[in-house]
Parts: sequence; C-alpha cells; structure tokens
Amino acid sequence: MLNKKCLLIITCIACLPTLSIAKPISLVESCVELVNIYESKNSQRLLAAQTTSLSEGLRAGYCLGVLTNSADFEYNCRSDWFRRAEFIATFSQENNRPSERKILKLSCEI
Amino acid sequence: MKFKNGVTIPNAIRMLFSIELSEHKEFKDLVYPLVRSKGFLKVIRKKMSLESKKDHLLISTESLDKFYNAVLLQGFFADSKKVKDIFTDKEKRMRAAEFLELIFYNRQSILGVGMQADTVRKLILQLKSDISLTDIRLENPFSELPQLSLNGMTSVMQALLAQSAALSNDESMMAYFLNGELQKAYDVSCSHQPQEAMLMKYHALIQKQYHDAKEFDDFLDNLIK
Repeated sequence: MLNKKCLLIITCIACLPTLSIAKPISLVESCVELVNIYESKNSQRLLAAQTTSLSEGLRAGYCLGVLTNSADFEYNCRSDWFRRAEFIATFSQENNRPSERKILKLSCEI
Repeated sequence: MKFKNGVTIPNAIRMLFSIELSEHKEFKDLVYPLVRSKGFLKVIRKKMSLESKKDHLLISTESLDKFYNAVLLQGFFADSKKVKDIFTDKEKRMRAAEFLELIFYNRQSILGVGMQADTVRKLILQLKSDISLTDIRLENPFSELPQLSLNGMTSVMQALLAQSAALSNDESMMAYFLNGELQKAYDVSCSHQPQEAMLMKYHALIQKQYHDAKEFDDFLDNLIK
C-alpha cells in the first residue's frame, strides 16, 4: 500500500517539469505587438496604456528582449531595435516565413 | 428581401425601431460598424448574385436582440468599441450603469435628447442586474433615437460633453472618463474631491489610470532615446 502511494507521488513529481515548460512565443507576433504599442502611443498621449493588455505588453517585451540581446551577443547589428522590430513585424503578413533565426539575422542587415 | 434565418440591416432597423435606414445616412454609418465588427453579432453572408463578388450582410435572427441593445446603447455612448465592451466586460457594464444613474439623478432630461425618466430608471436596473444582453432587450427610454438627430449630437454622451459647463464636477469627471478622455478626467479629478462613495471609487481609479498611463508613455519614450 505504502509503495503504491510512493510510486504515485514519484510519478507526480516526475511529471511536474513537463507541465511547467513554457510554450515558445512567436517572435514575429511579439514584434507586431511592440510596433502596435508605439503606434498607439504616437497617435495619442496616454493611449498606449489604455489599449495595451497585459499579455500584449509581455509579448512586446519578449520582442524587445530578443532584439537587444541578439544585437549584443550574436550579430553585428547596424540598425536600432525599433527599426528591426518594424522589419520583423512585416513578416506577419507572409505565408511562407523564413525561420526566426533567419529573420533575426536579416533584421540586422537592414 | 428576406432570407432564411437572417435579416438585412435595413430590414432589422425597420423591424426593431421602425426607422428607414436609407433616409438617415449618419445613423447608417453608426450601425454598419456594429454589424461588421468581427465576432460581435452572428452574421450570415450571402452572395448578391452568381457573378457578383459582393455579399449581402445578414444579421442572424438569434442576434437581433443583441443588435437592438447595441443600437440603443450607442444612443448613450456613441463609440461602438465602448458599446461592445458593455456586452463582454462586467466592470464596464457597471460603469455605464453608474454613469447613467449619476447623470439622471439630478435631471429629467438631457438638452436636445427626449427621454422618459421612468424607463431610464428601468434601463439602469437592467444594466446593473445579471440579465443577458444577448437575449433580453433593454428598455428604450428615447422618444427618438439620438442617432437620428440633425444637430450632430448623435448620443447622450456627446450632448452632455457639448454642454460641459452645465455639468457638475462629478458629472464631467465621469463623462470624460467614460468617453476615453483620461487627461481631461484627471484634470477635473485633481481639483475636485467627490463626497459620495461611488464617485470616490472613480476618483481613485482615474488618478491611478492616469499615473499608470503616464508612466507607460514615459517608459516607452525612454526606451527609444
């Protein structure tokens, strides 16, 4: 009886890490959010906060994080992160998107 | 033209409000976005003819009550996004009800908009209750929908803001806030401390929303620099 209980607990613990693995976030979609937030801010003062949901804000932050991090460590980026975000966001309209790695690299060359 | 399970927009307006949409262009411009708005009403698209690329937009009969309520609320709040929020966001629905309560507590009518006080009271109770705005029609207090008026004031909100000098501080603070004019709402709130519990709640909310929004704007500016 005790063994069965132990087994159950062990299986549960073993399953925990798989439950907490985060789903990947789309870089293109998150850069769209980042660009949208700035569009909203530039269209009217105080509007950005009122039109941005928490999850949109988090997504935008992901884009910003990936761009600034990759600029520092991976590539020799010529353009600033905002222009790169705008560039990456344009891929949201495309059906045959290149891989994220490729898009990221391309964004450094604009 | 009638279709199975769906009604054209002009037919729906005729059935629900006895109004000929073709005679009121401005009203038409307010109504169509409600129907076209994705995921709000159940709509059916029918090809106009075999060769035509254009579709007839039909409102599904099960969405007619919701459409009725949306048009009615548009008469108060103008903006179709805000009207749609009332259907989905409990808090915004309550805000709308509390705003109407505040506005009509002290007056029988809004200049230029004919309304029956009893029916407004019933409408406020309906908004405050849990009834489904998709299935149950709201009381219509208007003697004529404000959307039809010729003076450019197509909603109660616009009529109120146009005579803002006649509003109390409480009222203009709420009107600006519900109309999405956070800066103006904040400006009023800074020189005015409401006495009533419901208004004190909004006063605090406006102050907080303003500071959050300003902080966000500043943060975004700093990132770019």
